[in-house]
Amino acid sequence: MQWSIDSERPVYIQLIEHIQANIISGNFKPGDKIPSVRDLAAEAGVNPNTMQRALAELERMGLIFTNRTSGRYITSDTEVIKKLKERSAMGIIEEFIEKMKQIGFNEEEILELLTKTIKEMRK
Amino acid sequence: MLKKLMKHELKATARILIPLCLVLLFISVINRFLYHAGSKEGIFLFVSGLMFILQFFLVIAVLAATVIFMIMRFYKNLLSDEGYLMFTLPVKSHHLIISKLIVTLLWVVVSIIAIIASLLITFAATDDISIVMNAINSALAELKAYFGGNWVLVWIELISLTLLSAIANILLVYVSIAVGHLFTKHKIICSFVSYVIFYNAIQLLMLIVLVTFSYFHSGSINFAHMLPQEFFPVIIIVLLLECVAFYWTTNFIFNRKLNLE
Amino acid sequence: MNPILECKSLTKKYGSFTALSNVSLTLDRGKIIGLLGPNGSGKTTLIKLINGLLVPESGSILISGMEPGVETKKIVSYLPEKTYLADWMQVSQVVEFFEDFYENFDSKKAYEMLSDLRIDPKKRLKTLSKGTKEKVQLILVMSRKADLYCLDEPIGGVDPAARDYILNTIITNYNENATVLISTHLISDIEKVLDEVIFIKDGAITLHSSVDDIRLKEGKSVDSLFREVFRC
Repeated sequence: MQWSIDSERPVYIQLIEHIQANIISGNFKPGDKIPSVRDLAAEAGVNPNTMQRALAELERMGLIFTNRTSGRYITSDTEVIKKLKERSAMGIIEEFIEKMKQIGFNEEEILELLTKTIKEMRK
Repeated sequence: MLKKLMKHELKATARILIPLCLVLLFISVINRFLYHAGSKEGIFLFVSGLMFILQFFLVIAVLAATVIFMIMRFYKNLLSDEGYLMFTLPVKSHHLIISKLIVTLLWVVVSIIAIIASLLITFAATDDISIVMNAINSALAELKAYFGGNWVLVWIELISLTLLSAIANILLVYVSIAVGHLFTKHKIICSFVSYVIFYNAIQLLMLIVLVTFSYFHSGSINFAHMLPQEFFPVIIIVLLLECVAFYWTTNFIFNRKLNLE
Repeated sequence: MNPILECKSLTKKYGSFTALSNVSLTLDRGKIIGLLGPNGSGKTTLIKLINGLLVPESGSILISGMEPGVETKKIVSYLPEKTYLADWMQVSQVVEFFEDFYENFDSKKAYEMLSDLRIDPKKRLKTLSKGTKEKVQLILVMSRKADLYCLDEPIGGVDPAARDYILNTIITNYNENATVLISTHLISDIEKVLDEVIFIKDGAITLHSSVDDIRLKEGKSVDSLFREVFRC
């Protein structure tokens, strides 16, 4: 798996985003066991402390839980994952609408264009 | 740790010195047959001539190798790039000095034995040997007389004298290299210069001590008249002080003034 | 949590030139730290002081609470910029040497890494290329279970694939008790691996901060910040 970490933003934030994206897309399935901090850090090419920070934050968000004896797992709570998915989608949609407005479309035009494009893509 | 350092030092030097000594001895054995076969005909004479020259060069090579290794091992292993390894080992710096000193001493002894053996193997006939042995025995007997018949004392002083003299000479080289290291430019020249200075200083010191001792002891400044049993201890003490001074200085430079490039 | 390194008002002079002036620095355990600065800024001097290869003019330096000496050399693993191994030795002999002198040396790990990088242990160092010799040195240094690793330009002379391998080794070697101090110019390659960075200029420390803090506060990478701060 390719972890693309850019150089401008804090690493731990990007790690969080990457893992979240993989949870949403289903690459990390609910209940999956997560590799050790060191292995994950090595895979991503980052400092283990930074990876640890990202994982701790994800745990705080409820996306990961730690079983003291057997390690870390992706949450099996589908509600939480669904909420994450929704929030992620909302972010993309809001950004899209903003950009369309910047080009000069109003809300009805955006909806029309959206429906038309989806029909085209189905063919 | 000292043993490990010596083991490593032996490994580094034996790979050249042992083969060299073995080749010398091998050629010596061959030359013994050439020497005693004794035919004086043209080609034979030419070949045996070459062989003897070869033996001669090998003797020089063994001596040279011992001296060169003494200098090079100290300089290259401790004060050039390899020093980064040696001085970060968890060993005390004086162990670094002692390990090299002992191994160098060992090779000095080995080379001398090898050279004497080489000469004996090639040239010695049984009557030669007894002549030499007689000469040695009578010299020792004379010495013993001076020491009031005390064999033990004779041997102790003779051995101390030889050993301390060798050690002092080696440490003289080491301290000169160490002093040269203190300078940022022209390290080798400075080492050489300090060798010359130290050497002459020691000669001068020895002279002064002997003259003084002779004067106070017998009223004459001509110490050639000093008896061995007075002469030897004085030299031994001076050599001992020399060894201590050189060793201490080298160790001080290593501990406080090390500056590897 | 006792720090692995504590420098207080450390000063080192070479004749009239001051290489380090009044440097005070504390390094915590379990961190990978970058020591960044231009040539002649005092990086190598600081590392040599940590390893007991230099004696400071004034100030104190403590490794795990001890002054540099035999005991600290047991827990500090040093990779200098130069090749410091004897040319006549075979790789396997050098491994044996390290095993002899360092209790915490893991020769199994060393041989594994040598085989990963396809280095033949039977070869004499004399026959290896400069890049390969540097890899051997790095393997030896990382095969020790030390408390402080001082790496002076570890990725400078090696190809990008080996570079990745080396950074990967540093990451997987990580343990919370040990600290890795890396002195380098190649900041962008190594930035993601660092916890903290130290900027050093003209013998003084101008910055000591975590990588993420810099990215948060400055909105740019450490590499960009470095180029700004040390612009010629």
